[in-house]
Amino acid sequence: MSSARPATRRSRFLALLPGLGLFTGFLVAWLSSTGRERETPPMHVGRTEARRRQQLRTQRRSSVLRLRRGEPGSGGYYGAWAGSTDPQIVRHIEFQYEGMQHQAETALSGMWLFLTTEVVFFGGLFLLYMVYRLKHLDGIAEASRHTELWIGTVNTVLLLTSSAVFSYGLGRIKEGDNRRLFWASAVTVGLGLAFLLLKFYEWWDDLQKNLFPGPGFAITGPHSGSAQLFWSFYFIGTGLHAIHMIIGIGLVAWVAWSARRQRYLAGWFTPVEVVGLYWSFVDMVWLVLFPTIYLVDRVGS
Amino acid sequence: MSASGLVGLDAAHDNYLTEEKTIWSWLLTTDHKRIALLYFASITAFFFLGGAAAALMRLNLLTPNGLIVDHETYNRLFTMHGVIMVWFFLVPAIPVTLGNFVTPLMIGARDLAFPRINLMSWYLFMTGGLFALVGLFAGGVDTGWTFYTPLSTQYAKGYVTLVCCGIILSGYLSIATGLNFIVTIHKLRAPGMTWYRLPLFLWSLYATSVIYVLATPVLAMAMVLILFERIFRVGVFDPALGGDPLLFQHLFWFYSHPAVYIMILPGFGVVSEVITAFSRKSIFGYKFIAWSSVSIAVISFFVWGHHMFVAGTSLYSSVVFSLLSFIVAVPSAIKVFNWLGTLHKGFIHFNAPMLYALGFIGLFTMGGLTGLFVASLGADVHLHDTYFVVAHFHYIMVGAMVSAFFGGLHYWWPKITGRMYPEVWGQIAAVMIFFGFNLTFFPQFILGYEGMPRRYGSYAPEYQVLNVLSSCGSTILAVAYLLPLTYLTWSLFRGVRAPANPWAATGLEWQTQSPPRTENFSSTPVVTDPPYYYPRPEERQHV
Amino acid sequence: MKPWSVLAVWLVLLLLLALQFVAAGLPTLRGVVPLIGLGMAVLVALTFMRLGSSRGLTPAFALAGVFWLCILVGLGSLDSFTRHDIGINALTRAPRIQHQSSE
Repeated sequence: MSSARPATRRSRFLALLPGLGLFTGFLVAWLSSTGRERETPPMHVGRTEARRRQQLRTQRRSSVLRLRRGEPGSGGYYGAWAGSTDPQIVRHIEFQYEGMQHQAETALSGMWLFLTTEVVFFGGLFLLYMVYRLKHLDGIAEASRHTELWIGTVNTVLLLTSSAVFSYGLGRIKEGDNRRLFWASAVTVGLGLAFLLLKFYEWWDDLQKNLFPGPGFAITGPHSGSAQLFWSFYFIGTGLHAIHMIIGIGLVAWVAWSARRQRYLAGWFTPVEVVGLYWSFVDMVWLVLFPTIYLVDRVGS
Repeated sequence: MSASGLVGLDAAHDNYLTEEKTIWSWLLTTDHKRIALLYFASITAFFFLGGAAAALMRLNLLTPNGLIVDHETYNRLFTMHGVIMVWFFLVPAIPVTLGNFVTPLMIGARDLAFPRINLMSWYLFMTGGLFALVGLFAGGVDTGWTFYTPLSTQYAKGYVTLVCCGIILSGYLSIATGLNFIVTIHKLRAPGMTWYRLPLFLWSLYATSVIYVLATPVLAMAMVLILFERIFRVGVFDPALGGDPLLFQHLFWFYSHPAVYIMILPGFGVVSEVITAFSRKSIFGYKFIAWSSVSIAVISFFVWGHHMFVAGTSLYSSVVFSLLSFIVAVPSAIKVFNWLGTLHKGFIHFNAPMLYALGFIGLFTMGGLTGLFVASLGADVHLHDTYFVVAHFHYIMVGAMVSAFFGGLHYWWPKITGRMYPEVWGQIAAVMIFFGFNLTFFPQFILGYEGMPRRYGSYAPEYQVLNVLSSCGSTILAVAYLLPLTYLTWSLFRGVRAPANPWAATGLEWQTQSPPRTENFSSTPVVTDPPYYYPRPEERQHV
Repeated sequence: MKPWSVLAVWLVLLLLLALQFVAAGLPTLRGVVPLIGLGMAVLVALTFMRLGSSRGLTPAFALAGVFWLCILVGLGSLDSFTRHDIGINALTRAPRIQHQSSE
């Protein structure tokens, strides 16, 4: 009985992730798409008024983090569209913002702040790994040799390519090209799914080889304990990363779907930028996970 | 004559409460003011649940052998008390209620930067709270709110997994709220509202949000690791595998120490507001208070090791953490001196919010100073895990923080509800809370000093007298907490209608009607005065 | 970003990946491998995430993240690296209690 139970517990690991990830991805996409209808006109300002407010705002120039608010029509992130009164664009501005530039900057800073939290989240796991590696180098090195290097490498290339492709798509929508954005997002989703498929295969393979820590662990001998620590870190790290991937795929798929319906404009593509940030961040996490898991200790000294 | 609704408003004017009255307009609202009220309801419920657990604990401690519950149940009670009070009351308390309501008003904005994320955070909070409550009531957890391994992961019987899931979900509340506040304060200030014209409440909220955003993810990771260990029966912190149980404590306290600053910083902000308003005087040393909030937020991340002095950490790191813990006390002390400087030669009014703020200053000073005792390595060896520590943190969390919460609640009550609370009852409750609190927790300092350990349902007979005193005090405290619940509810229906600025205070939130209309201001305000501009007639100058 | 810049960055990233393999194979250069990984991550941040061309709050938040990561990892590992542990023989592991609750 006790040998049967651990097996089903481990397969729960594989079943849990997609559900969690998909649910979260849909929740985020739904929240972003149900915008509040405008009841009152935006706090829209003309050029002279904007300049006057800019002066009032920066009267005391001692604030450390100075905001660069592009004045309407002067350039900045949204270039010529910044002060546009085109109703197609204006209807996307929420009521607490002064204009598209203001809203877009705010959304991007918000996403960067969220990514900062993710950095600290994964940082905790890396603290754990770092301490264990420096205390039990031999066990960890031996354990990491059981990872499948070719899967890890292919996955890294897939993820790098997907990040590049989505970045290309973001460049295209700035010109108003929804069609190319759609294809870029679709390819990104495809690459992400390929990543996940390989990952699931890799996990299945690892479970077949009894590399999940616990009784019956494949690596025996004096370093069995620290090898289990490495493989715990492996499953937790790649598992959390996979959850983020699934959420990211959901978000990119939603961008593709919206682009297909010609929803974005050259003057409004904030969701694409925000999703691009998230997707590239997931890529960044993998770029740090990959060498620590697959490469660093592979060749013994 | 309107017989409906929360506030029986035959509204003289339309406001955010009368705009729409269906249940869905409340549950799906993105108006920061309504979300603040949703939070008020949840926070109050959690407060009384956690308080009930505390009442049972104090009742049990009336006799040396434990009066009403056995040890296992007692363990579950203090865990429940800790988990609910920390994560479902104190960590959210002021920011999600008063903060949510007042922040856009104070900066002259129409709403927060991300209103839908604000709503989502309330649902995450409720879901997390549901998980945690189910776990705590269905079978309970006996590990203490600190969830140390290997007790929580290998040996504890109970619903550790469920409660940890609840805590992770409530953590998203912190991250979402913190993110919202930081971005809002940076981006949505009205014209002329420069950083040095911001009310100090917002500086404190900003500092709190920095901690929310940067500390909570590490808690999430600590909880994920517990879940992994427990679900898959794998030792991540198991010494037999080469793991290190102290690493869990490092990850846990990396969050939990800044968390206690999350709990107190908004209280600092409220006190700054109340003290200036009821001394009719500008704050003494505005920039010092502002930057001390930010420096507390930053330095608080460097001191967590002082919770682990006797856990087996190296002496070298303990010395470093002890030194940093002394340093973090300095900004708090700066604030206390500045508040005293504000009171000096002020025109003081002893309204209820002011009584709470004055109580805060005294109780916080005591709590903060006793923190230095436990931050000293030698003293901590004796005092760790005794009632001294319990008294220390309750002086800050309950004595100071809950007082600040009530003070802010009374101060902004006219703005939130459009009604005045009964002043005399407010003053009675404030004084009663102060005395009840001291009677409850001062004996605990002595108990701890004399060696009574914490988290025990029974104790040696020589401690009984002080324990009985403490339990009597807790009864008074319980009654004193029920008083505001009663008269504030009463005031919703029978209170005198409040004008826009009942306290004649400065600040943009007082320039709009009470209660505010949904979009807060009829036109975008422009700020030209310095903050806390209470000029004496002879000093009046036109800025 | 212009399409050619995207392609150029992508090629550089692949090159760095190959460099990682080379460094991993040489025992003396093993420590460089995670640094190259970090470098690739920073490159992605500066280019694909447009951190390099941003102003104001965005780089401030990114720098804050890096700073706090350093505090977490640095100050967090201070204790572990200044302690002298007494190891436990794996055979003396205490038995777990079989509990009947929800897990």
